[in-house]
Amino acid sequence: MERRLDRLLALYREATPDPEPSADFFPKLWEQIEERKEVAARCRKWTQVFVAAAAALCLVFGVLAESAAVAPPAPPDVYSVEAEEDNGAESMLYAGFVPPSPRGER
Amino acid sequence: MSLGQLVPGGASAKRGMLVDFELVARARKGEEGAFGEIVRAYRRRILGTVARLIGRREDVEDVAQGIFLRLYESLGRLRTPEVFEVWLHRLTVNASYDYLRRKRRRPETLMAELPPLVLGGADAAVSEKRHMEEREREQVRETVEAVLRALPASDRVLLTLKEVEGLSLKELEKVLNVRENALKVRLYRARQRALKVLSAMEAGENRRAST
Repeated sequence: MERRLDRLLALYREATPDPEPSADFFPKLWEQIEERKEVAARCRKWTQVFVAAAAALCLVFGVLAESAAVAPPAPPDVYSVEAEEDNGAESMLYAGFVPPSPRGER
Repeated sequence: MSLGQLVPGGASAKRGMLVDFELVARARKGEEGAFGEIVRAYRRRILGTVARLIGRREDVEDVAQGIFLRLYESLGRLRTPEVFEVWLHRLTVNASYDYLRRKRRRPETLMAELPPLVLGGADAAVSEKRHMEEREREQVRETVEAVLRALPASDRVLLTLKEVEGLSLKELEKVLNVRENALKVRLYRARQRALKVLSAMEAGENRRAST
């Protein structure tokens, strides 16, 4: 039986010759290749657009962050006046000066 | 069944490289003309191998085109042109496996059931001798197809590549990425299963003939 199987398998190769491809084998194949290439080109294009947009956004955010660091907002005037008053009062206390009470009490 | 007039030789016939390495190298670099030449050189061989691996002629061209498409896309990843044939065999086996898995439940059209012209052999006006030979070929196709169809896809692919396509164990090792010892075991088991199927088929035939 082993020999018979071997022989059958060997004969099978002879009995099934390589078939001739049909006339549209090549055109169909190139059509598929072109299709794939188009899809790949479209993907590449979208990737480029995406990368360019991301780069532009990075640039815009970078510029905004830079400008914010160069010119910090000025502190409000009220704050500086209050701070000066506080400083004045503190230095007077440090010098031992006791301000008179508004009603003249000791 | 008389097999006397057919001379076996396919399994032992070595099938060498059909293109030179330079052409493969050019195709790898993206030269479309070189790729076209490779397709022209290999299309018949691939069609034949796929036909024997999947056993359905009606889908052979689609599967073969898929193989060449994958080859086109993957040629750039080929390390050296020297491994081209192994690479192509691997693509062929993978595509055939995919097909066999996908179409497992679909009703089959036997190669033996197809019109003789499609099989490229018979002609209505051939001599009696040729007619007899063609009938024998048909019987062989029918028997082997029935045996292979009864086997799992992995057995079918392994037996076809080794015994029909004539690949050596070393080549199979590279194509299937399986060690030689493991291959031998798998091949032995596949043969045992094929023998079992063949015995059962012949026992059935004998029973039918006696009644």
